[in-house]
Amino acid sequence: MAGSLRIWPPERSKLAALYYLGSGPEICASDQILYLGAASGTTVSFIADYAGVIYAVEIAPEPLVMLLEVCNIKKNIIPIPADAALPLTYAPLVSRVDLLYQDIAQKEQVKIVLKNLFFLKPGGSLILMLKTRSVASQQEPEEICSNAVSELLNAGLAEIKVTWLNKYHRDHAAIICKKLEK
Amino acid sequence: MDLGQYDFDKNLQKDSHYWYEEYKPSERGDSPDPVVIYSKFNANLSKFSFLPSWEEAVIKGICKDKNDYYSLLRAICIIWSQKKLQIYNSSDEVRLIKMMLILRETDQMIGRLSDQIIFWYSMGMNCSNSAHRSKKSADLIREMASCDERDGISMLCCDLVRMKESRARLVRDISMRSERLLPNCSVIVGPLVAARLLVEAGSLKRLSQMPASKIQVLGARNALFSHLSSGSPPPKHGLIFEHKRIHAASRKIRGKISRTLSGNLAIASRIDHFRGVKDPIFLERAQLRIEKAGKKS
Repeated sequence: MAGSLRIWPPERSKLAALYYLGSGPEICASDQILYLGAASGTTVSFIADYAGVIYAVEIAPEPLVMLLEVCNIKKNIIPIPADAALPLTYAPLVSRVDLLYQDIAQKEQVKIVLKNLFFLKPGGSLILMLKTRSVASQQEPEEICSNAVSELLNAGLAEIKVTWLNKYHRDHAAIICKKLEK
Repeated sequence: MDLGQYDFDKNLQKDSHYWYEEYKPSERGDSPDPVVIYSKFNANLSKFSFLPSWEEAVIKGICKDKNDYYSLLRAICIIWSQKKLQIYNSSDEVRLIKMMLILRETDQMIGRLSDQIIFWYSMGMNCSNSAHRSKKSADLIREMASCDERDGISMLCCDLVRMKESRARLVRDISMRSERLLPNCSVIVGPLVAARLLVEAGSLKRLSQMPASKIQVLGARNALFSHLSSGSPPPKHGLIFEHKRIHAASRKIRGKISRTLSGNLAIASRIDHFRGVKDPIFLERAQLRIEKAGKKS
């Protein structure tokens, strides 16, 4: 803590690491964000300082308790206790968003984000925190990442930019891309 | 639910019915109550249209402005989360798993603490290591707890003795719960081992979906992966080794018994999950099968 300001440590938050490495997208006060895999709400609470509304999707009960505590402090977080792999279960509550952020350490990570792509406005951006060790522990991280990138390209995303977060998080890649305007 | 098969445009255009339309604005003009709106759909959102927008909610007169819309939505989602947590917290299965974790922690603590105290004791006694090793550590702790000198260590020993009593009580509680939740598995391997299997599997549903071969090596993860990656001998048994039928048997037939045992456990866990009551006929047959596996050699 530095006075009333908080330190956003890059070791704890992957998004902070991305900004430290100088390639995070701008978040403005009017933005709506869909955050998949909110966990205990550390990163969510920091994004909430910048964004307008943030939908935080988390299924696991124990982190959800902590997320609700964060919700009590930040009034613009909307907690959604649902499975990110089943977007139809929460689609009736979520509006179109300007930014889709996904940080789920799962084997099916890329598939999950593609399922949630219809929430994203045309022209909106997507941040995918790819934990390559969760996708496959034997394969080379670079290979997994290039597979993920080609999957995203096939789904119609453009301006794909990959940043490796190895300095702060081992074998993690941040993939930033844009949904094309119709 | 596959998005590929779902017709979005149809959902978006044809008779749209958004979640906020469940609320009928009254003439009195009072603000919508999130509890009432939540009770209308009760975690089942399937009848609503996708991708609502605050603009439309304002036009329809449900909310005053953007902030109003989002604070209503937020209140509803918080109720939804709390309901979900309530269901999770009141589940017998979760409670049993948490109790098992407490038991594991207690065991570790008792073990570490008594190790350190005995080490300290042997230093003070100036006796050689082998002299006090012959004594059982539990006896030693009890002895120290009853000594007249009231120093910190002997008080800790008292605590340890009491801790062991509490542990025995905890084990009894766990056994009771486990017999209720896993009636068939408990008869086959004993309530405590059945509860350990449940913890290792994560949930009863997952345990009931496991093949017998996985139940057989449940809890022997390291041995299994070292077998798969470097070709060391495969593990014969995991957690179920703790059952007396296996560890009392001779080494040669242990593998055979654990195969039979896990096969019957797979059936038992399915009965536990889908029926939840004891099946005496199955249990009798299972016991016979397991005994037979132990006899033939």
